Amino acid sequence: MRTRTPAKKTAKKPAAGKRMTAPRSGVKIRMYRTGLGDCFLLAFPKDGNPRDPFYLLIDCGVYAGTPEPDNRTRIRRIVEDVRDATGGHLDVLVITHEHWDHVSAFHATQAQEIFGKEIGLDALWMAWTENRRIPLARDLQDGRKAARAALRQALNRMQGLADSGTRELVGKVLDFFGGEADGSGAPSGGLGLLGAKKSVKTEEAMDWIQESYGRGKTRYLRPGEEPLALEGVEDVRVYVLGPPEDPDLIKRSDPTGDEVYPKAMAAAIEASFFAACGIMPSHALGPDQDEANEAKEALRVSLPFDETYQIERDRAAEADPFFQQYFEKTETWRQIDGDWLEAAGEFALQLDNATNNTSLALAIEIGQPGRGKVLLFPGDAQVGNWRSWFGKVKLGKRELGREMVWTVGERKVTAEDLLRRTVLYKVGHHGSHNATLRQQGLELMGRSDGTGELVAFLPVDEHVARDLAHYGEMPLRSLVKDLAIRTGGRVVRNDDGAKPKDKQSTLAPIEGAPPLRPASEFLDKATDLWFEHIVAPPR
Amino acid sequence: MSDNEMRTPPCRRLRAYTFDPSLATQLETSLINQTVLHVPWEPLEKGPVGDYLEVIDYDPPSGCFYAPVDLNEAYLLAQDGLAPSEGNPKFHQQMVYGVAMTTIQNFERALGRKALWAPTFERDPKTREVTKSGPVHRLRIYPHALREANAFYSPDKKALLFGYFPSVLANPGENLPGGLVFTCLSHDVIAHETTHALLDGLHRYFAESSNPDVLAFHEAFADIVALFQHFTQPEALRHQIAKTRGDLASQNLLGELAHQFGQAIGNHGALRDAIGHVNPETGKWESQAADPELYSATTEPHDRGAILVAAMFDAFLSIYKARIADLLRIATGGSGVLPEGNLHPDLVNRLAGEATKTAGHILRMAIRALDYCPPIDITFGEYLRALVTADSDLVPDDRWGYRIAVIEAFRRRGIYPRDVRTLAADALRWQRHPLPSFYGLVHGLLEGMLNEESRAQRRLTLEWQSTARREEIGRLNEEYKKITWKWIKDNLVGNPAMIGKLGIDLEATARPTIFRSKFDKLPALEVHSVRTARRPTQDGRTLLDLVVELVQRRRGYLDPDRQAEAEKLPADSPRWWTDFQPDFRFRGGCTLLIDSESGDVRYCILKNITSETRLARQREFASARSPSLRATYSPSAAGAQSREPFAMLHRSR
Repeated sequence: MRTRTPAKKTAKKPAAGKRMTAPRSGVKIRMYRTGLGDCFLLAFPKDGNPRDPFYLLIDCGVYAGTPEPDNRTRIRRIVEDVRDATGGHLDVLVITHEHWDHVSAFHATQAQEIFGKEIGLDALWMAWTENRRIPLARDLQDGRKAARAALRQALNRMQGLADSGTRELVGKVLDFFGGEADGSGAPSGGLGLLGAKKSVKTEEAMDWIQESYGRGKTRYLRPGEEPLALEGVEDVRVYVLGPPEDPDLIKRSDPTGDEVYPKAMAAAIEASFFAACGIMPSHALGPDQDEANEAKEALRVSLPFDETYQIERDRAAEADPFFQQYFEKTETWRQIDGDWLEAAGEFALQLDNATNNTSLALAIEIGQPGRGKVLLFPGDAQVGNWRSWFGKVKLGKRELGREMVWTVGERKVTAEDLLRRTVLYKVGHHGSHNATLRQQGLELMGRSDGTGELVAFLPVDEHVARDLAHYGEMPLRSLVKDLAIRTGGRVVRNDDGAKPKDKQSTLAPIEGAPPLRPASEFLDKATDLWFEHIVAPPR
Repeated sequence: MSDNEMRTPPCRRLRAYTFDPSLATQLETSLINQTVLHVPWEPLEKGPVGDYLEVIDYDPPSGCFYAPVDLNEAYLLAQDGLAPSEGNPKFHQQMVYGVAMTTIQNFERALGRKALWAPTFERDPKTREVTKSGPVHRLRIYPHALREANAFYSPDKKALLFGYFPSVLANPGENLPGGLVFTCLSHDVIAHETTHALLDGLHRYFAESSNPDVLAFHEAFADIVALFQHFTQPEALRHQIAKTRGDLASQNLLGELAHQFGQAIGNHGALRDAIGHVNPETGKWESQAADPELYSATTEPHDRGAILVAAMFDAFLSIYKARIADLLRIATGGSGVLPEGNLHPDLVNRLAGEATKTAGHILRMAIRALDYCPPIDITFGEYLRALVTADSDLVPDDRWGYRIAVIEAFRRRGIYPRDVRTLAADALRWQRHPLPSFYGLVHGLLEGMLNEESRAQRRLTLEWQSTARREEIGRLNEEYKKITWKWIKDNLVGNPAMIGKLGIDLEATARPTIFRSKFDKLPALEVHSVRTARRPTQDGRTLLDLVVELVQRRRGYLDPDRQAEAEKLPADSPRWWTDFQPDFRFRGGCTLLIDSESGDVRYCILKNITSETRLARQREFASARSPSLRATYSPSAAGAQSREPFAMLHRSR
C-alpha cells in the first residue's frame, strides 16, 4: 500500500461530482443494490481528509440466474459507479470466497475490463484458503474442483431419468459457480464423460483477480492474525475472524452434530461415488490425460466384484432373458437407474457448504481499540466457520480450531466482544438458514427491544431468490423477523422498492416484529443503485 | 416310494452370515459367524424369485448386472446353498433372500395371515395424490443399488435398495482398509429394511409424518424386529453367554450384544447408544439409565425411535431375568455366585434357550400389536395400548409378567398414552365400544363372494388365509374392501350417532374440509384394509378376527384463521383447488376388530376426523418443523422426502 497505482491512461475519466466522500471520522458504507449478490464500498477519511478517502470494496457480483437488465447491464452500471465514486482507485479489494454472486463482476463477460482499465488497485485481500502455496488450501480447492466435476457428471446422467428435485438442487449449487466456462451450460457430448474437467466461470473470475488484477498485491489473511490497519486511516482496524484453518470445520455444515463416519471413511465413500461418475479425485486434475480413458479407469478400480461377474447393462437382456423383466415397459416404475445419483444432493450441499465456509470473515472496528463500534462482514460463512471465531470448537472428544483472542494495545478482544459491539451486520448468505448463528451470533448483536444502533444490511432479492431461482427459504422468514426485532426495524434490503424518500418500506410487515423502517429514516442516503449509511466512532 | 414320503420339504436351508462379514475375519467370532437359515419352502426361480420376493441384481453405479443365483441347483440344495463369501454376488443374493424370507415368516406367524405388500399407486405428478392403485405381487430387492452407506425401502418402487461403500476405519482391526462394506450382507440391515416394507404393507399411512412419533415408530419398529430376530439366533447368544464370569444376574452381556447391534446397523437404525454404552474409563459396557424426560425432549426420528427400542429391550431383559431365576439357583447352589472358570455348556445352552424363547415372544408380541393400532397418526402411547390389548387377548394368563414388564419399561421412559388415568394393564387395554353388531357386514362379505363366485368359494372365503395363494388373497382383499365400503354406505349413512363412534363423518353436513367423493359428492371414505387374523390363544382357542380400517382425509391449514374460513366454504367450492389448497393433510378414522363369527366389534381404535384438538396438534407439529439446508436450495428437493421418506431419513443423518 506504499505507492498509489494510478488508473491507466486509456481510461475514461471518472465523472466528476459523483465522488463518494467519507465522514470526518468513522466510516461511510455503501451497499450496492446488485440484487441477489454482494457488493459493498466503504469510505474512510484518510489523513483526516473526508474528500480523499480510503476506499475498500468487498465483493462484487450477482446471482447467475438474474434476468437482464438486472444482471450484466446493472453490474456494469454499478462498477462504473464504483469507478466514479472512488475516482478510479481502490485502496483495498476484499474477495470473500469463490461464488459467482460475489465475484461475477470480475469475469470477462461482465465488467472485468472496467476494473482492469479504469479502476486502479493497491491491495487485494483474500482468505488463506485461496493461497495455492498452502497445502491444505490446495487440497480443499482440488477437492471442490473434483466435487464440481463429479456433480456435473451426475447431473448429465440424471438427464432423462425421473426427477426428484435432486437435479434441481445440484444444478443450483453449480449455478453458484456461474456455469461452465464455455458459456453453453449444456451437458457435454453424447458420452456424458467429456467436459468434466472444464473450469467454471467463477474459477476464471478468481484467476483473473489473483493472477492479473491483484498480481503482486495479494495478501492472504489468516484467522486470529494481528488486526490490520488501513494506511492513513486513524483508529480503524480489521480483525480476521475466519475461515478457520481446520478442514473439519470448513467441511462440516454443523460441527455440533455427532459424527456418523470417521473422516477418512467419508472421503472414501465420496471417492467411490465420484469414481462411478468417472472422476478420480486423486488425479482428476491432470489437464492432458484422456478423459474418457481416465473415467473408465476410475470406474474399473472402484468395482465391487471381479470383472468376470459383470454383465454390461446394455447387453444384459440379450445375455440372459432373466434380465428382460427389468426393462419391460410395464416395469419401468421399478427401475433404479437414478436412485444412486440421489446421493449427489448431499455431496452438492457439502460442496456448497465447504465453499461458503471458506469465506473471509472480517470485523472492522471503528474507534478506540477494544472499545470501538464494529462492522461485521462474515461473507457467507456457515456454522463451522462462524463458530470458530469464538475459539476452539468441541466436537465429541475432539477440539477443533484454535484459541482466538486478540491483544490490541492493552486490551484483550474476543469475537463475543466484537459481536456485542456490532452496529452494522452484513447478513450472511442472503439471509438463509445456517449462515447467521443465533446464540453465538444475532443474540449478541443489537438489543431485544431494538433500541440499539444496530443496522442489518441484507443483500437479497426475494423475488429472484424465490420466484426465479426457486430457492426455498431465502431469506429465511424467521431470521428476517429476528433481524427486525434486534435492529428495531432497521433492516436494509436490496429489494426494498421504496423510493428514496418514501415514508414506508414496501416489504410486507412480519408478524410479531416491528415494521421495517424506511431507509430514509435512518440511512444517510439512498438511490436506486445503492444505500449509504454512516457509522461515527463512539464518543 | 409312496406319495406320502414325497411331500415338499418344510424348509429350504440356506447359509448366511450370522451378523455381517466383519466378524468372519476375527478368529474369536469367526466360528459363530455362519448360520443356516430355515426358510419356508416355496418353488423358486433363479434370482431368486419366489412368491414374495424377486431379487434382481443390478448395479447402476457400476453400469452392470450380476447373474442370478439358482438355488434349485442340485449342488446348492445338497450343501445349504452357497458358502458365505463377500466376493461372490450370488451369495449376496442368497443371503438377502434368506433373511428377508425369515422376517416375512415371523410376521406371518405373529399376525396369522399371509403378508401382502402395499399396492402400487399412480400419482398425480402435481398433487402426489393417488389416482390409481394395483396389487404388487413381489417385493423387489436390489442388493447393489447404491454407492453410499445407505439402504432403504422405496414405497414408490416397492423395492429394497441396498448400498455398498468402502470402509476405512481409524482402527483397521475389523474391516480391511479399503475393503467394501455391503449392507446387503448385514443380517440386521436386511431385517430392518424388510420390516419397513412389511409395515408399509399393513399401515401405509405410517410413512406420513403427522406427529413426532410416526416416523420414529417406523424406524423403531424396524429395529425392534431386527433386534429380536437377531436374538432368536442361538449361535449369537450362546457365544455371548459363554463369556459370562462371576455375576450371572447382571444382564450386561446381552445388553452389550444389543449395543453391538446398534453399532453395526449404524446409520440404518434407531438404536445406537440408547441401551447403553462402553464406559471409556473401565472399558466395560454399562446400561443406560432410563430418562423419563428424554421422550418429551427428543424430536429427531431416530433418537426418538431409540427410546422405544430401548423400552422393548428393557422389557425383554426383565422377563429373561425372571425366566432364568431358577436356573441360576440351580447353577450356583442358591448362592448366586458362580464358581471360577467356564460355564457348563449345558447351562449355556439352557440360558441361551431361555433368551431365544423370550426374544421370540417379544418379537411376536411386537408384531401382533400392529393389528391393534390406529390406521394413521400412531403414537408410542397407542402402541403401548396395542401391545397390552393384543397380548391379553391371546395370553390371558400373564404368568411371566410380560405385560407388566412392557408397561414398566415404557413408564420409566415417560411413554404413556394421552388419555388413560392409570398405567395398570386393565386401564391400558383398548376399551370395548358399545357398538351395534357388524354381523351384517360379516354376512355380507360371505354373501358378496357367493353372489359372484361358485359355492365352493365359501370354503375359500373362510380359509383363504392358510390355503389360498397370495395373488388370490390380494384380489379377494380388494373385493372385501368394496363390499365393506358399500355395506357401510348402505347401513351407516343417516345414522350419525353410529358414525361418530367410528371417528368418521359420512353425512352431507360434514365439515366441508373433509374431502368429498367425485361420484356422490358425499364425504369420501377409504376402506383402507379388510383382513382376517387367525391366531391361536394360550388356552387352545383360535381367535378369528376381521380387521377393518377406515380412513378419511381433511384439509388442514397452518393458519388457524384460514382453517376457520375454510370450514365456512361450501363443500363443492371451486376455491378448494385454487386459493384454498391445503397446507397439510389431516386424516381420521379407525381400526375395527370384529369377531368374525358374531360380528361383534371387539375393539374400535379411534382417531377422530372431527377432533379439533388433534388437528391443532398436527398443525403445531407441521409449523414447527425447522427448515433444512436442503429446503433453502430447493423446496422440491425437500419434497424428495415425501417420495423416498426412508432414503432421506437415512441420508440426512
